[in-house]
Amino acid sequence: MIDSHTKILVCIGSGGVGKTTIAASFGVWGALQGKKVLVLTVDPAKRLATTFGLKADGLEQRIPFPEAQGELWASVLNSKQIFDDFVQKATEKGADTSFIMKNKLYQQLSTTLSGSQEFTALEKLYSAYESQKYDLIILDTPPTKHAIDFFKAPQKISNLFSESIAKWFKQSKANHWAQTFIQMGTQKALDILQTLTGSEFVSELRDFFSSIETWQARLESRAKKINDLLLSKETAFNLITAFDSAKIEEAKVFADLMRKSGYQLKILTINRSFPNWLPKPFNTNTGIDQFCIKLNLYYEGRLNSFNLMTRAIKELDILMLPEYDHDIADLEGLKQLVNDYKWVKNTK
Amino acid sequence: MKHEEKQQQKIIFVTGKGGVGKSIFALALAQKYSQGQKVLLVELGLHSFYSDFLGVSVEYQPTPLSKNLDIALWSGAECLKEYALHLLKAESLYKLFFENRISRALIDVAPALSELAILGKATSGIRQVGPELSYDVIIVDAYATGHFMALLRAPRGMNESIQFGPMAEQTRTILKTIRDPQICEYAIVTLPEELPAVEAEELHQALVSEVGLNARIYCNKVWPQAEILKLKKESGTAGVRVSDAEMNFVQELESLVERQQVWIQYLKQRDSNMKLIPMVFSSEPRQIVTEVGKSLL
Ligand SMILES: Nc1ncnc2c1ncn2[C@@H]1O[C@H](COP(=O)(O)OP(=O)(O)OP(=O)(O)O)[C@@H](O)[C@H]1O
Ligand SMILES: Nc1ncnc2c1ncn2[C@@H]1O[C@H](COP(=O)(O)OP(=O)(O)OP(=O)(O)O)[C@@H](O)[C@H]1O
Ligand SMILES: [Mg+2]
Ligand SMILES: [Mg+2]
Repeated sequence: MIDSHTKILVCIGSGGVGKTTIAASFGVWGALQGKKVLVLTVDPAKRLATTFGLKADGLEQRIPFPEAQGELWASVLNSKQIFDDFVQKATEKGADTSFIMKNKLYQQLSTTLSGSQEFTALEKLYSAYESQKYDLIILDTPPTKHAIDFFKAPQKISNLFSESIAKWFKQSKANHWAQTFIQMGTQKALDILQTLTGSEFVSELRDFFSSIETWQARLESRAKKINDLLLSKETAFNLITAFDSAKIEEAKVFADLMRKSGYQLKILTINRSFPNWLPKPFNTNTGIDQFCIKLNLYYEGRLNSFNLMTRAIKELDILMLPEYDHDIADLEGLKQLVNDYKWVKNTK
Repeated sequence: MKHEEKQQQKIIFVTGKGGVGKSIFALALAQKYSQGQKVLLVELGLHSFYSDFLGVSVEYQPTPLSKNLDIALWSGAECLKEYALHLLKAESLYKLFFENRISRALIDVAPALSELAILGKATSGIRQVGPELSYDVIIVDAYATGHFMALLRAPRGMNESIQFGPMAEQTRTILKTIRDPQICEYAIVTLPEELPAVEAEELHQALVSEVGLNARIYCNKVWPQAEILKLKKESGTAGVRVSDAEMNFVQELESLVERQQVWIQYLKQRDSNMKLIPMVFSSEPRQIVTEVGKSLL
């Protein structure tokens, strides 16, 4: 499980599986253990945000939780703001950033779902980690098409910002790229891009790259530090999946991939695995009993295929969570969830 | 001589919150259409869900799945490659471009580019560009809500910032196609629960304002209300002995369908013809698809 080395717990998984809810519950768990915990959350359900009084302003707020020995803190990630802050900090002091902020490509990059959300989540994680204010930081992750997109995103961004690319664009700007002494291949590639997209697009690109030059160095070193942190012993991952043979199979493949890449995958959480309200059959042979038998068979059927599959999973703790018949929208609900944590297989 | 008019191709995009049953629904819908028409079922992205599920290999080029039904997996990169080849007409030029580190990095992040290429591919049959797509119906098991809207917004965003050149022209015809009710249909799959229902309602509105079309809503995993109410009646019938535990159980079920009803009514305000798809009590995915298919008839 999470040991004392663990300073960061990253909750990942595909869309809608319960990442935000479970990340919050680990925050509650940590605070109950006496830790000072920060939950970095993405787009929490409105009711959960309201009951916690959370604003989407990115500030770290303390959540009143009197019965906990530790402290529960939370912050709602605001991607655009983090990106803008980052640019502001990374540019030379007093430099004018309005030019870049107006660039269409920058606007797309900082607002769309093409990897910048993942990058900003990690950027915020790193600065919270650096502040050394917390014993444990829980990171909820943005909805991705596939859990693996989360890991690819920062690399993509850092590729784009790699120094050589910007240098190249800068040269091409200075000399109207046709006459520049640059790699022929790249020159041709850009000509092709121009054929495909038109010159307007290419000129937007050129403006973009020449204006980001100043914060490149910082972005590159930051990306590297973030990557090191994700691979360090202090960071544990919690992969969340739905209770479904197809989805668990998918999670297994992904878990292998993560481990091969060196990430510390510690927990596989199976959410909504069994209803917490379903009784055992009554043996009365009434219509009610028959319906109850049908439901039990259904959930047992799923459980069987689950057991077969998890036998193959090693060195992972499996956390089974029940399916509630209500939303989890407040501290009480989260405490209930922590109470219902069911660890199926402990490594130690 | 009577000339048989070829029917216009139809494109159906399936979207909704993560995990609500989009893929199961899209497959069931594809099977249904393939009873009389030639259908292509398309997945988006790099990973195929259906390949494990159905035990077939799913790639960019369509693979036959059953009579009249083919399946394919479209990634942004592959769609872009096809578009580039179509315009450049030479593999060598294409290689120069796509194997260059700088262009690779650009394609990876320049968000609208691969999204545009995907929509371009989906509408390529209608717009008569690129390789032939000879299907009567194309069903796209598309992204979940947020990414789907980003996909649909790509052409408009591109159109606003770039007005000239080949891409601008392509963009305009794509925009026209995705807004044409004779060609495109949008299906939102959701559940009778608060978060998915609210998300579906917001998505419905977003689609109206983005493409000007009313999406159809499909409410999945609906518990059998009539059956449960019958159980309740049974428990109240004189002469039938029912234990307290059984009474509790029935009450639990009853409140479950009551809650479900709240969200069904909520969704019906958006789509009064909303289809209900029953919860299938089976852990066998193929059986779920079959049962979901029956409810679509
Ligand atoms: N075990 C559970 N039982 C019942 N409801 C649950 C359970 N876990 C999560 N939910 C509910 O499911 C919904 C989705 O959960 P959540 O928002 O945490 O998912 P997510 O993975 O963060 O989604 P996204 O990918 O969209 O960010 C919420 O309404 C939440 O209350
Ligand atoms: N009508 C139904 N009755 C019972 N179970 C269902 C039904 N529809 C879907 N499911 C279950 O829900 C699971 C999720 O469905 P599916 O994979 O189609 O969702 P999805 O929306 O495509 O998910 P993702 O967003 O991850 O792509 C299925 O594997 C299936 O077991
Ligand atoms: Mg979330
Ligand atoms: Mg799917």
